[in-house]
Amino acid sequence: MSGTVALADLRARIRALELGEASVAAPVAALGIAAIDDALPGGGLARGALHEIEVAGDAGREAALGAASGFAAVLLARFAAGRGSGAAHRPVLWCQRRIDLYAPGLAAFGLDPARLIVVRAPAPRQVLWVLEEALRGRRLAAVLGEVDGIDLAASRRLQLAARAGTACVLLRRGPAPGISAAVTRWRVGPAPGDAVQSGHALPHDPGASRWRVELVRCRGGAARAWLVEWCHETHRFTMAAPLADRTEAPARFRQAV
Amino acid sequence: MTLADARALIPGLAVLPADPTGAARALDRLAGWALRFSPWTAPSGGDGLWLDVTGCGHLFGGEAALLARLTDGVGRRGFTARAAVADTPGAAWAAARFGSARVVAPGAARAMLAPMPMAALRLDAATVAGLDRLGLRRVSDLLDIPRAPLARRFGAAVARRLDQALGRAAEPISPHRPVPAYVARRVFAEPMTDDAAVRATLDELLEELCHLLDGRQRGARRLVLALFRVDGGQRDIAVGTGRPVRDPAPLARLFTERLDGVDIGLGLEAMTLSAPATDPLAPTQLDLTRDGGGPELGELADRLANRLGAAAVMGFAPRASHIPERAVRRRAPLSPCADAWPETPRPLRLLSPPTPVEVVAVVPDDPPSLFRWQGRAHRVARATGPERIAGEWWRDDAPTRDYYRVEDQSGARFWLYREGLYRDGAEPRWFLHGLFG
Repeated sequence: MSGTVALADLRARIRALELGEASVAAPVAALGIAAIDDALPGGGLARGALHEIEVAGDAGREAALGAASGFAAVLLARFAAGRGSGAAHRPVLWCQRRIDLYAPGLAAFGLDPARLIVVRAPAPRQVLWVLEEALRGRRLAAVLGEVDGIDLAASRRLQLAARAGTACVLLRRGPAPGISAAVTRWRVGPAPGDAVQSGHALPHDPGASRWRVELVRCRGGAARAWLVEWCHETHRFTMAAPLADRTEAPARFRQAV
Repeated sequence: MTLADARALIPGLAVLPADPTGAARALDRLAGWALRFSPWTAPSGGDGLWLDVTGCGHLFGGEAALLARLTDGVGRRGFTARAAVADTPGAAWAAARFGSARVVAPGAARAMLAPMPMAALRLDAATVAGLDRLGLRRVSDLLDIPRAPLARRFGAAVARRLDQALGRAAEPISPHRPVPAYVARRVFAEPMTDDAAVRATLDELLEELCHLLDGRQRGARRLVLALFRVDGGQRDIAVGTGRPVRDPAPLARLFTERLDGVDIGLGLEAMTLSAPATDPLAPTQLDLTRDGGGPELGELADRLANRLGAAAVMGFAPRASHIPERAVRRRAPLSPCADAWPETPRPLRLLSPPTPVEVVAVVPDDPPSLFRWQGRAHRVARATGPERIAGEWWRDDAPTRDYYRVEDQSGARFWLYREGLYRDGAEPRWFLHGLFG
């Protein structure tokens, strides 16, 4: 058994080297599905860090905005849950250039509209200012800002401000820049439902949202892609298809252990 | 005398048309300028100003010094003025116009008024002429005679003016601008030009004001900082808070940003901090177990609202309406809200206004098979509906809508509706109202 222990210890040390200043013992928020959580360092999304979600552009960015927004709402709900004393969820902040968030649709993703602050900031500079002010306050579980694009310096500032303990998520509606200081970068787009189910949907069946979630970059992890389904009633992810591995080596490494 | 007689006496007389409204406006502006000396100022007649300087003398180093600065300032603005301070408005009026004493000591009003002519009591010309015919030419003549015959002859005005001048009757003066209940004031002997000193003075003013509020168990909801410049201009900076606040530190943070853009010109000669709007605020105990929603979140909401506008920071609450765009109303962020949200599936993002789309629908009651939005054609793979939402007849005559949740070939989900029912000859319009997650 000492072999396993030594291996785990070695993995932890390599991860600490890879992550740099972010400590291995940083609190994380698990997404609730093992396939994705295992791919993230620490078993979930780091709480005091910057994460980016990019809207997939293949089928048209506007059409994919719904899917990316749903995934963003799920992330915020996960950050808000399970923090603080008892069942008191910390509030969450969502900053938009133009308010089109619809509160009755939030409950399907686990986000409680009563614990949500929505801020309208017409200029991109103001969105960044709102995020920084909210991160410095440290009383929120997570903040989300919708931006078109963000340069490296601004993302680094947000990452530094987020280290105080509040997670920061950026929903990027424009094309991807090259480098960003975000700890994880996601690209989310819609995925067609099963052909078997078509035509059999009941009149009031909400159906499960199906998304193609791609982890484009992750500090301390590899790039992966998944096809997941989100159930609106149980608020859980399920895998819709086998894992789409981008790289061969990590899969073999896991199987050996 | 007439203008012709005056011109005959002095050939080179300069003549200007009288402008009563312009003069009144100028006097108003002067009353506003005089706010740096006292919060209670008002124009008096057409040619003077009242200032209630109770309690303001010490800020200037004595009432004589205050008068000197006042006449100096008025002189710099292009007027010649005579000023006097007394303990009643009537005595001050008389001293400024008819007397030579600048500061009338408390209780010396009677002695000062005695040798003055009757006009010093603010009586009209007819009454003065009438009193003169009776041989009453100085105020001292009135002081000891019985009132009843005077009142029968000249009305109650004479006795009233005398009583007001001597302090036996009250004479309220309406201030030119409303006087806030909580004010802190600083006056500088020399013009202050240093930004750091301005901020330090602001901190002192905040301490003093919060101490005042503490004594009355109130918290400020709105604060106005008035900066009086040496050249006569005034800059006001207003901040508001969502909840009553009595703590100087968060209020100072709200002012910090605004102070950056303020031009103090050649310097400031006075600063006032007032709280026009306050709410009751009970003393709070320190809370060691803080959960989300404590005072810091209120402070964050205040900072965001002061920079972006109060309408930019909001929470959502349900409203009892079937119409989707009316089913949500704004509320103060994080205020308690016990209403329940409806259970029907709704999109995550709602387009407002709904976007018209071109739709191909085969059969009237079936969902569309293809729709075109933003130049792209979306072929519908799955759809549920219709969900019929009728207009609220008590508000307006909006047509009925049939909503469909559709999923296109790429998996994106949309909320479309058909407006109105199918009628012969009228093609109903289709709209995209929302995007599902």
